[in-house]
Amino acid sequence: MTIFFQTTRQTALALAALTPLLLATPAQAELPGTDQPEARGLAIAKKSDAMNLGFTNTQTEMEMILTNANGDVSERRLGFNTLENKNPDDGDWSMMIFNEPADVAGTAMLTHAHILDPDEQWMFLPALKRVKRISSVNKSGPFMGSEFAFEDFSSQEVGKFSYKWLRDEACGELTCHVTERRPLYKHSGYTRTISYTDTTDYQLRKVVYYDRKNALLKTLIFSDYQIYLDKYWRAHNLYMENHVTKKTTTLRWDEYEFQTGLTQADFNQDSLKRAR
Amino acid sequence: MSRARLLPVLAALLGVSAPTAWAMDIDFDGNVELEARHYPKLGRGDDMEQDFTSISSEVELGLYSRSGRHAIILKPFGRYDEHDHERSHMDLREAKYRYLRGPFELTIGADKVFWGVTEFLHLVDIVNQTDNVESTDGEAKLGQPMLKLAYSTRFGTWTGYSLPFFRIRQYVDPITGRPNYGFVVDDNTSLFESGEGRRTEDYALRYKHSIGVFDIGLSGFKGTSREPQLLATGDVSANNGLPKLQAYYAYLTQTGIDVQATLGSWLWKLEASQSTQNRFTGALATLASPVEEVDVARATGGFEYTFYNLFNSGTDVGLVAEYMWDEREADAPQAFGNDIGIGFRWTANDTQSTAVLLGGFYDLDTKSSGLSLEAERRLGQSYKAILEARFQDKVGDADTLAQANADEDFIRLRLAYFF
Repeated sequence: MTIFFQTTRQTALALAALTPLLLATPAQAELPGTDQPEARGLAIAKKSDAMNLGFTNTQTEMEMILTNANGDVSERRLGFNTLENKNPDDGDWSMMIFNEPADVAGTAMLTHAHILDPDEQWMFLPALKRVKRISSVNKSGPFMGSEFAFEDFSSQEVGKFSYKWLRDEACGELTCHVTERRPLYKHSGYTRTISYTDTTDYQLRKVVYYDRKNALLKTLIFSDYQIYLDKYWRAHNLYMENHVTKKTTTLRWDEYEFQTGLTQADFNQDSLKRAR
Repeated sequence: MSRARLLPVLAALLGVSAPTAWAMDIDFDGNVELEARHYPKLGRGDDMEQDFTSISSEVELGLYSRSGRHAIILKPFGRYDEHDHERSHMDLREAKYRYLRGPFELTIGADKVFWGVTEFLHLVDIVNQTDNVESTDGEAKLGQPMLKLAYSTRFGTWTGYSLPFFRIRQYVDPITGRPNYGFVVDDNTSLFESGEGRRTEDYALRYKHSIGVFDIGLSGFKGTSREPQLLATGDVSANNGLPKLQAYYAYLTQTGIDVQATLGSWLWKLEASQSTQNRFTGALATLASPVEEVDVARATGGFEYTFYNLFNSGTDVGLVAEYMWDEREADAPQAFGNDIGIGFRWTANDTQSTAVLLGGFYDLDTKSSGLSLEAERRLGQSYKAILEARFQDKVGDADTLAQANADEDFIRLRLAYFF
């Protein structure tokens, strides 16, 4: 018993000693070369995804500020729970709970995301106490009247897109990999998006969306990144600008709570009815 | 939802420091609604009104333990109607204690439950009595006292219900109320087949599961029928000469199945029920009529198809078509023996959540048809306007139900404030 303990302890110490070395390895060195743009783009996406591996679950709330071309403002508030799917070949589970405007308070949406199969979605309608399975075909439509489409909110699994690295360029104080992403799932409103992923923490800094006719549609800017549990980055301000309608939507996220003990049982139709 | 604001207020009222004294969250929200109803045609009785104004309110107070295990939820509803004394009513939509432990959920108190998948007719949904004075679409329900135990597994959720009290169906004011279908019902003369009257030993069982594209529900119910058989009494109303009917609530056994298949933009839906109950026979049945045990199969089903983000406009257009069937067809004691319902839903997905629903009913036996319109829009951040209109379009041959409906077209406008 004692020997076993010591052995594991030694191993742990040895690993701990190695860790700084691993972290010090330049990230770019692990990526396929610029002569393989597809492989490089995919590797960037995988690396970005891996940064989030093991988050287990999160709970947070978010304020959504909608502004139209005249400057009229309207606000929404929602709760957001996410459960990491331990199966890497399947998507995460999420629960969205609408708090404001008050007339939709209590409405909640449960999503079991998949990679290329359609997501499974259920809506709870509090006035009727009814859980309704809804079609997840609605990818491109506006979410709560905002400039975010439903697909912008769904789980961004690596396998949902094809990738092509375009270039590296400065983005603010950081350097970003600029990657073209094309949706592989059906019913997307986009032909492609151009995403800017920083080369330090592999977080998204900006996404530019092109509509089905490949015309410039929207730009999303991520800011106010905070790190949780020393490894999980979350942007607390998302600013989406629609270049066609001149409308904007800002998402302001509250503090995230990580690993709160949520389980699969908190993401089924029974818990959907109790969501608040 | 004024969660944060209310806690200090309540704490101050109770003279305690809320976060330390109670490890619980408090939610408080609700609405107040002004309503105007207009009936373009004269009523059957001289004192029946054509215009009604009314005010209603529903609030919800929820106390939740921090662990999420315990919850107490109170949801009273009340309405005052200037003319209709029966429609001026109060109800505890919910008044319950809920306890969660592992896969178990226990609920004690008044609650509302919904079963089923279809839009026009809810066949398997049987736990709650319809709040019949509130709306004509049957969607409003009275709180049902119950003891409910749900057991959730990976292979679906089983829920058992014990329903110890019966709620009778309310009818509009016999003198002033609308809609009036050519008779009046006196609640005080309600009769029950079950000897215990309103103190019942009803129970129900429900199984619900989702497998891939399918959402499946099975249900069983044994107890007093929520839908009464209306019996002739031979009496007429002293006020307007309309026949007085009395409600007879038979003992009912019903099994049901509801299935939805979600295939892309298509939602395919089916509900079917098989019920057994005693009925008094004959066209103008009375308490003296012979009683017969009737087994009835009913079904409804169809599809809902939605064109999402039509022409990249952000708007959705949905089409709902459902068929309603009762094996007794035209002899069925309710409106939907062999009918088709068509709905057309337009959702703007704008910041004000504008939505319009056009509906139509067509009776394949009598060729009667009806139309409905529902439209809603949020005003500012906290108000909502809702317009509803229902018209009987054609009255088919010998269709007494449609005939009775024909004079009761109405328009209803509501303005609600949410907090």
